[in-house]
Amino acid sequence: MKLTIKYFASIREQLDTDEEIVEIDAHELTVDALRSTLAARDARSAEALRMDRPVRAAVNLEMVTGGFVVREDSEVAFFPPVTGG
Amino acid sequence: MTSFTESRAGLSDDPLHAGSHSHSADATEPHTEPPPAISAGFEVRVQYAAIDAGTELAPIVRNPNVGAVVNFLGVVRNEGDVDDVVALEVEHYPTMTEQALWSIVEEASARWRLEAVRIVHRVGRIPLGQAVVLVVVAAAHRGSAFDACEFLMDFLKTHAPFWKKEIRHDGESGWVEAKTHDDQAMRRWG
Repeated sequence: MKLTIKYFASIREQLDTDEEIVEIDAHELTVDALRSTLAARDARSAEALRMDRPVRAAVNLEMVTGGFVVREDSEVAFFPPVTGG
Repeated sequence: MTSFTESRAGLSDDPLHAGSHSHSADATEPHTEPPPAISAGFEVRVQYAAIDAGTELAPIVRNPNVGAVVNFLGVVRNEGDVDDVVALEVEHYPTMTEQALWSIVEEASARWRLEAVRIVHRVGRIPLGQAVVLVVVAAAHRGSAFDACEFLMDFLKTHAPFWKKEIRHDGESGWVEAKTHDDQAMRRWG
């Protein structure tokens, strides 16, 4: 399935990219599974998205947890815990 | 980059409808106004420009139903996760930010009877001593205005997609860590 992936703050800096479009070969894909798939691509991705780090996710502009199942053509964002205000 | 502005038919932004909120209560007029909802006087905005609290407050204070206005102004301070901070760089997630702020405002409006809420959050580089965020809450009486303002800030800090980076005097910089006490503050609202 085709997905738009966005990165913010420290994760964006580590990956040196703020957005990419990926094609993932999966029938049912959770946010955690997507994160693992992206992390497995190279050392830089592995460090930025590693599972023991507090990474938050949003799908189509709503915060979700790792078990959320992603649909085709979604926008998925990965970012550190928010620090506004 | 451009600043993103969203407002929902705020009284202050639309001179054609200025005062329509109070007129709609007049039974002698045909009822052409939309039903009262979270609209007039409610606004969220993300901007690169400096926050001018006086300008933001003026239209809210003019609302004749308002008896109490509580403001929170968050300011860049010298000491955060590190010392010698001269500025913050604030990043956000355009579109999601506005959506998240609106859902926080809607939740506050469901919990308290509020006349107006305005949230203005600055992004980009913000020098020491300047405002990062302004939250204005107006109600008939002070109790709900104080409570709702605290609620809005607690939820903004934990739910709105902003990230702060501290810039030090020597040019070093680092991302601010999320604080557990902010999560605790948010949880007390149930």
